[in-house]
Amino acid sequence: MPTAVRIGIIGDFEPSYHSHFATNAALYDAATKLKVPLLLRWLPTPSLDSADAPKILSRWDGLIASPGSPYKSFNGMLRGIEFARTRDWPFTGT
Amino acid sequence: MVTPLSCSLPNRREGGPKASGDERLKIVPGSRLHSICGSEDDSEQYYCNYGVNEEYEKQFQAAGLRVSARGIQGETRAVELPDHRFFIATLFQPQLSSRPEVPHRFWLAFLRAAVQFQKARSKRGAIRTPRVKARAKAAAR
Repeated sequence: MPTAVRIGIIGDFEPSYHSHFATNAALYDAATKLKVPLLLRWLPTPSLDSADAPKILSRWDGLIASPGSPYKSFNGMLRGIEFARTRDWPFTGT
Repeated sequence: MVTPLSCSLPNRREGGPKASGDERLKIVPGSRLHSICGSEDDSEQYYCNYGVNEEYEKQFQAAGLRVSARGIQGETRAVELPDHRFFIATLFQPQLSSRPEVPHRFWLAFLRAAVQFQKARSKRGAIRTPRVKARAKAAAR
């Protein structure tokens, strides 16, 4: 059994928001296709508006900026994107 | 840097935001997105009301961001950092056209990059860990 790939989605999950649901689904489907176990978590934006942000973000092998602004903490979102950009972490925002 | 879209996509969904439904795109050859999608012509799904303010395009370029996809009128639809291991931002949402039996190539590529990164990190970690422990011991003294 290979190690699970850990993906963190920066955003405030809203179950009724189709784009959020579709993001989770697309990632699980892609992981199944690649035969890689996937550990997927949403990282609420207010939790990243702190000095702990790098510690939280570095637990993940890839980071995603979720669709659907406004975010609860725009600053938290920006810290997340900045972390990925400056630390060369796999990142996408769609 | 972001601005409300001035016009709707031709295939806008009824009751949906201005950019909803699918749009034909041109993927810029030589971009990472192009290596993922495999061709210049593409069609993707949208669900949003905002776009890139084109007045800032020069500043984006100066900061190192490259446009990797454009709409039919030349609008910016995706950007990326060429020297980064994987940094792509899109206005479209490849998750909307991903299907269980045919996951979107974009997400396959993103996960592959994350798996590679994890492997590279665990190798580096194996070298680094003793040093970190030694430092922690020294600090505890």
